[in-house]
Amino acid sequence: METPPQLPAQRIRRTRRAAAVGSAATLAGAWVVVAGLGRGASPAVGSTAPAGLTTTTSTTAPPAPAPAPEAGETHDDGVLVAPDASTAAPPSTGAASAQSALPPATTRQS
Amino acid sequence: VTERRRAFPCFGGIVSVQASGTGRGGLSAPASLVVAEAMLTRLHERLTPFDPGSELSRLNANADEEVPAGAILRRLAAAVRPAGLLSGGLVDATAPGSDPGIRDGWRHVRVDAARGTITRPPGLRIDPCGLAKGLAADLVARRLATHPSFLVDCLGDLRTGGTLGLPREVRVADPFGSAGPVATLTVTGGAAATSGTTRRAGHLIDPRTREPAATGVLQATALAPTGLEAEARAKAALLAGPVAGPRHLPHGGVLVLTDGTVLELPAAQARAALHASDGERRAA
Repeated sequence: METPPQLPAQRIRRTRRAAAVGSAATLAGAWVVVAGLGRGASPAVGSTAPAGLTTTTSTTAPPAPAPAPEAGETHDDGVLVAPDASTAAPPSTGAASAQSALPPATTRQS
Repeated sequence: VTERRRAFPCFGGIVSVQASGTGRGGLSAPASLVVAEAMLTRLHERLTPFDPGSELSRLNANADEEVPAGAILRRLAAAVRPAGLLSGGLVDATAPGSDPGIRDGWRHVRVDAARGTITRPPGLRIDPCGLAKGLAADLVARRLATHPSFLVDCLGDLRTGGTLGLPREVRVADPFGSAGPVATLTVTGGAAATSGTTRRAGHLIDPRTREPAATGVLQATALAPTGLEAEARAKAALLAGPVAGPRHLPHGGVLVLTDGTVLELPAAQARAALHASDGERRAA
């Protein structure tokens, strides 16, 4: 068993151990085909926004305009494919206490 | 800032996209989100390994060494080798298929953009794991980037940003399933991805042992410029274990260890600055 590293920048704390490992249900295989670009649009379903967010959920589907390729992009079946995303800027991170005007997001295992 | 939101079935779960204001071409947020949904649906149709008719499945079933492929599939295939290199071989988005003798399959996947083809040893399958979701988030983020703010949530693979550069809280879900997050990060742009062994036991294979990963890390969250990179780094950090894992998170992230310890790791730049200040204090 390896021991945790002791880097000075780490904030270490304990979290409660709870449910049995691997007990969560999987959603695999539940995908369905919905109409896409150029074939009409599907209504939004399955809103999962927690209460209190400033998001609103679209329930009607305005016409989907065809996107136009920009320099370096390839059009493939309605999807613009950028040649390479390696030039994207690094993520900007701030202090956890920074004031956020946007609804939060959650990253999780899938 | 008020963001509009669409949620829809995709990638085996519920994917959501959010945006505010107007974006490229004067498109309103609701209109851009319809386009985003269409893009994600197409991406899934092309890249799912669970549909034998998808372009990915047809590639994997093709016995030829060089196979014509569309731009979406070529883009995914082009990510296989960088993910292997970035992770020191820990992330191998291939499976040996009928030829179990092929090791480090990620080294053998090539893309020829001019010919519009993918080349790999016959029998070697591309098994994208989370890379397809990361790529999908990246491509849709490019579409939404001209909105004041946006979020793409591909089942926990996130891309956020926008022209206003506003901070957004990114909460890291508890691997044991409790309601509260184990950590909260604040980002103004970029990607976050989480890999773990608690939600689907045994699904993450350690390429060194070809057995389910058991490294002392239960869950790894990586921040990165792109969804593809975040996916690769999260998996690499988990497979590397508690000691080497932090080296795979140069842009910051969170590790949850098997004993419940939560390690919040700032970006390498911040780590370096802290190390330097520690050294100055020792020198003083």
